[in-house]
Amino acid sequence: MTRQLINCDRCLMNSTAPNFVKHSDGSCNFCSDFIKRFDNLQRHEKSNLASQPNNLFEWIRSQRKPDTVYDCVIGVSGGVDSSWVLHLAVQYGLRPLAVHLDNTWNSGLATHNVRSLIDSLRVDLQTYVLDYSSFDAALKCFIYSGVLDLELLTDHLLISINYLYARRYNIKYILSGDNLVTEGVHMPQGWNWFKYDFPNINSILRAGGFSGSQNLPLLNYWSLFNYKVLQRITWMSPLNTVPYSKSEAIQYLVEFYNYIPYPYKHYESLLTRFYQGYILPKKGFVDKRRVHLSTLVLTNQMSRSQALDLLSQSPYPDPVEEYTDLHFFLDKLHISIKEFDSYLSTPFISHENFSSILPLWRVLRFFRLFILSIRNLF
Amino acid sequence: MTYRIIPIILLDGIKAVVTHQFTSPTYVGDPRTLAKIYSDQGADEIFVLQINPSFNISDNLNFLASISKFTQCCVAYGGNLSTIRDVSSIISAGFEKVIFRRLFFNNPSLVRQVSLIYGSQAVTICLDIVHLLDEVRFGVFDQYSEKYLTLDQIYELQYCDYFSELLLNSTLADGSFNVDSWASSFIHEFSKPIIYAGGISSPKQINHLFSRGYDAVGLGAEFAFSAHNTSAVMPSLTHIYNKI
Repeated sequence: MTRQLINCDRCLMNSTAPNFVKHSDGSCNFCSDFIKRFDNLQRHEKSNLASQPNNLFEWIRSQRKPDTVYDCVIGVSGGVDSSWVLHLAVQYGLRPLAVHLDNTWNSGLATHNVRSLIDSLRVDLQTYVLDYSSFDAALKCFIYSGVLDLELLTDHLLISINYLYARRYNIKYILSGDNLVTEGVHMPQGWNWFKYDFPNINSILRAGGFSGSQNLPLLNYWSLFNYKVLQRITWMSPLNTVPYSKSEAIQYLVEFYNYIPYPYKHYESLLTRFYQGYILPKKGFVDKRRVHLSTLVLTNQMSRSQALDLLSQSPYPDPVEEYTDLHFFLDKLHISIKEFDSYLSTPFISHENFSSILPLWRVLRFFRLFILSIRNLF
Repeated sequence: MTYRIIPIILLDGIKAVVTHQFTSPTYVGDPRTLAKIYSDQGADEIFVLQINPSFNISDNLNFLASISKFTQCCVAYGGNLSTIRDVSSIISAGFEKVIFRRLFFNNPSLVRQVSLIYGSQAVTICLDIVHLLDEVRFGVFDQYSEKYLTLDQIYELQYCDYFSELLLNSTLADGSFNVDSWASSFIHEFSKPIIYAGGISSPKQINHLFSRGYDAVGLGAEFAFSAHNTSAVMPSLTHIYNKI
């Protein structure tokens, strides 16, 4: 018997998300939560406007110290959000150092976009190229462990190298493309994992017999403490402080930087494209497009019917590309079709089966929020 | 006019590297991904050159096959080819051409034999350009051998029927961002296509080389190191084509 799916009437979320709750007015917990946070952000921004500067870019420029070469680190992937941050940073007169993590799964589109942007804006770029044998072996540990978030390792390393270069060049601010307008709806519980969870990564790698940790710039908690507390390096999301329309940004990037857009969010990486477009829907019936498109609908950047139409299409718009990506993935990781089929036929295993900092992190976060709210009272 | 721009992937064993004057290799990624990137960006052909003398072709055939497997263009291989068996393994691994350098001097009969079996279009000869005082020499100059041809001997090469094109590789310019300043009417007059490689770092230099009479240029370090990109491979063929 197939389970009856319950759909939200306002966004695109449905009961495939584990913690989905539909309210009596037809909306769901995902969109209500997003709208509350989005309204808060806008109110906060309006109150901040009175006390200028207008946005984070201007504020960072006002903090510039003499004898510095760069004002901020900007992680670039070739995607729209990070490209737009880089463009805005230069427009606002900042001197950014662009940083790119090459996990050796870049697509031709990603490298084209990064290269065009870097050359046109005349910005310095530092690329950290991961040792591909080590990264691929680590990725295989994640696959064989059966956990859902195969992107955890890349995302974790991405955070790590941003801090690494900020420290190396004595830069105090890291600007990321994170934003509420295009990715504000929270990922449902279990659709991804906490990216700072060093013990979880370590435990998965150990269980898989991985021995190349020294070749990967993992971010342990001492390093994180050093970066955040001792070095006072701050991670910022400037797109939340300026008006941001994804479609207008794409249009501008295409016109002025020969930017080539891709069909869905994060499809600039061959690994992410295959993971989101093939593994997640086939193994876990998870379609992350549902979350990304919901955000665009709720911020009026796309109509609901347009989004539903996109969602009804295959996550892989081109079947030839799907076929090539599948075989490239298997070939690069030395996995046989039979092994992969058996992997797809079993359900995901929770990250909670491995060591994790998350319970402790939640307690610490609760105390931090508690102290902040007490402080606000006085 | 269609410009032939050929991405060159240097291999140090199973890792892609870039070099400075063919020494001090710097790791830049997975050659399989790089080949796929170049192919997806519309490259018509890719050169894969092995610089590690201890690399064993027969032990790494699957790896080499996966470099060419995900490309939709002609992929040529050069380096450590010493027998007909090596060549046939490379061709069966999906490469359409082989590039001979040292073997051209050490065992020319084998080069001829390859041409007889697979056709001359499957054979490219690679010569280093070296400047010795006021003289320019072409040949093989490394720690293992030093053999060269004079310019007159090079002229004669165009009448050989066992190879289809000549790759001139400036060891001096490799990884330096400056192209070899050597120029000669010979480049225009040579009847076979000549490809230049070494030190190219800007679309302006590519235009300059084409105007000198080269039929194609090979780009390696340009994708890796340019004035604003000091660390790793970040190729965009479209970007280069747009600028030349």
